[in-house]
Amino acid sequence: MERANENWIGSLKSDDRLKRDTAIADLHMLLLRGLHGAFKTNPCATPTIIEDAAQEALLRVTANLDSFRGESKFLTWAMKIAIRNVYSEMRRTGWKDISLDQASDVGKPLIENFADDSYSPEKLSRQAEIIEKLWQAINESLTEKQKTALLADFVANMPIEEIARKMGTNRNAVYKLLYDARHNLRKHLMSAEITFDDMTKAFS
Amino acid sequence: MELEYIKQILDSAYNIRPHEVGCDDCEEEMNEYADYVLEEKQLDKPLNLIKDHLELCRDCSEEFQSLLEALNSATGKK
Ligand SMILES: [Zn+2]
Repeated sequence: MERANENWIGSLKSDDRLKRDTAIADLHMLLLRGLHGAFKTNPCATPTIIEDAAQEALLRVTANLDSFRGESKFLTWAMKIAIRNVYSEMRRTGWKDISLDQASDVGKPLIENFADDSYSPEKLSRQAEIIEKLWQAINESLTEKQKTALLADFVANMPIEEIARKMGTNRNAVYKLLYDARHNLRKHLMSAEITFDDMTKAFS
Repeated sequence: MELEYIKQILDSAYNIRPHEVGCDDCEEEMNEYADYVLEEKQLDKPLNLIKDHLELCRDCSEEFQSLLEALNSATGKK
């Protein structure tokens, strides 16, 4: 049976110990069931990661009941916290041996020495031209930090949460850094007279 | 393969929006948006910016997809 939000909050805050413990046990069970379902095909989400994530979420939720504003179902709010814990841990362990420089270095030769012979010669030369301009834009319009984050994100597929951790900042700040990088690239490319249409045509 | 990276960088640059929300706002509103998606619930406020962010941010997007799957599993819908 699904509990309404008021029931969750009331029970979790209750002085009646049995009532409170039952609600905690219910929530724990639902979080575990949800996490097991969501990550069943992901080998990186080990049983330990999942159990720790559920446990931590349970602690955080019960300690922060007053910060729940009732804009969603209570379970949705709690599950969001648990999911975030799983990803945070998977990303941390998965990327712990790869530095930001290593990740961004992967991207450089890929963009510099690009060639794909499955395209016609005219298309290839147009692509090469755009890529050259893109590489120029990356080098001339981005700061070192923007460039590193961009290559680590797009080419090495490093999660921005990890980029943030390695830069000693938060995810929101990295998103903003990348936003500014994208903005600068666009401006540079537009001034090199490469339009969105040119780009789409060359790469379709 | 290499082409994919280049396309993605170009796409993200050209598709930049004048106003984009960051990961913090997305995280804040993600639960409300999940209920909306799962139950076609009415929204009290427009969450278009969250939808945009989910299209642009890989981290948030994978968390959101997993959230939907987890809720379906937990409530026995899947
Ligand atoms: Zn995000």
